Amino acid sequence: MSTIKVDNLQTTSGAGQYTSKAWASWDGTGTVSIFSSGNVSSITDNGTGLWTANFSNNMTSTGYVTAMNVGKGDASGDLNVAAHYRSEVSGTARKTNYVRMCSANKSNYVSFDHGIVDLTLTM
Amino acid sequence: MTNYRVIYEDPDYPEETAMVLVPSDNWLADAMAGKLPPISVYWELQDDEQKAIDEGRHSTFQHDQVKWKKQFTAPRIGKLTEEEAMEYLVMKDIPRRVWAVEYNRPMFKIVKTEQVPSNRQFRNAWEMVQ
Repeated sequence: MSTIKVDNLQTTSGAGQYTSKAWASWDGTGTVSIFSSGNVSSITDNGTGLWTANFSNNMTSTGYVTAMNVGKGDASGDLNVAAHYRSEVSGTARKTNYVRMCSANKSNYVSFDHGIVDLTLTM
Repeated sequence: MTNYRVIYEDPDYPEETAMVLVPSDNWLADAMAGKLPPISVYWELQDDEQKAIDEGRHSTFQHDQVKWKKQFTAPRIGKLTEEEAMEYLVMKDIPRRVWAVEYNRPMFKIVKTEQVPSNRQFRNAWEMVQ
C-alpha cells in the first residue's frame, strides 16, 4: 500500500480541500462502545451525557470546528436532543489533544446518555 | 477489540464520578504495530499548550511547529503489547495529576470491561478502592 504525503490539497482550479482531522461514533449508554473512529485514541465517559474525545495526534491549533450529533438510537425519535461543547473550569472545552462534549434532552436540558454520539472535526 | 478499560478519578474535580476511558481499536492496532512516537512528544505538546493557557492566549493558540511535527517524525518506539499500550494510553490521555502524583489511594486502574458497572446510577455513586 502506498502513502501520499502532501502539505496542501487543492482542486485543479485552486480551491482548497478540507478533510476531517478526527471523527468518531460511539454508543454512550452503559459502558461506552466505539463504533468507528479516525485519529481518536480513546473516548472518556465523564458522567451522564458527558464525554471527552482524545485525539491520536494533536491538532496544530485550537482553531478547529466540530460537528456533533446525538440520537437515542431507538424508535422513540430523536427530536428532543442537543449536543454542545463542555467547558472545564478554565473555559477550555476545545484543546489540541481533546474536545469535551455533552448531550441532553432538549425538552428539559437534563444530561442524557444517547445511543448514538457522532463527532467530526475539521480545520 | 480490546477488553481493557481505564477507570480514574480526577483529584481536581473530586465531586465528579469515576471516569471510564475506552481505547479506540484503531489506535491500539497502531500501538501494537509499533507506529507510536515516544510519549514525551505528547507531554511536550501538553506543556506547550498549558503555557498558553497560563498566559491567557489559548483562544488563538497554535503549537510550536517543530514540537508538533515530532508526532510524525520522531523515531517510533517499536511494537507494544496490549498491556504496554494501555499504560502508554494512560500517560497520554489521562491528566498527569492523576497518575504522576502519589496520593493516599490509587487514582486510576486498568481493568477488564466486565469489571466496569454498566448501570449508570450505580456507577455515579461509585468510588475506586484498591
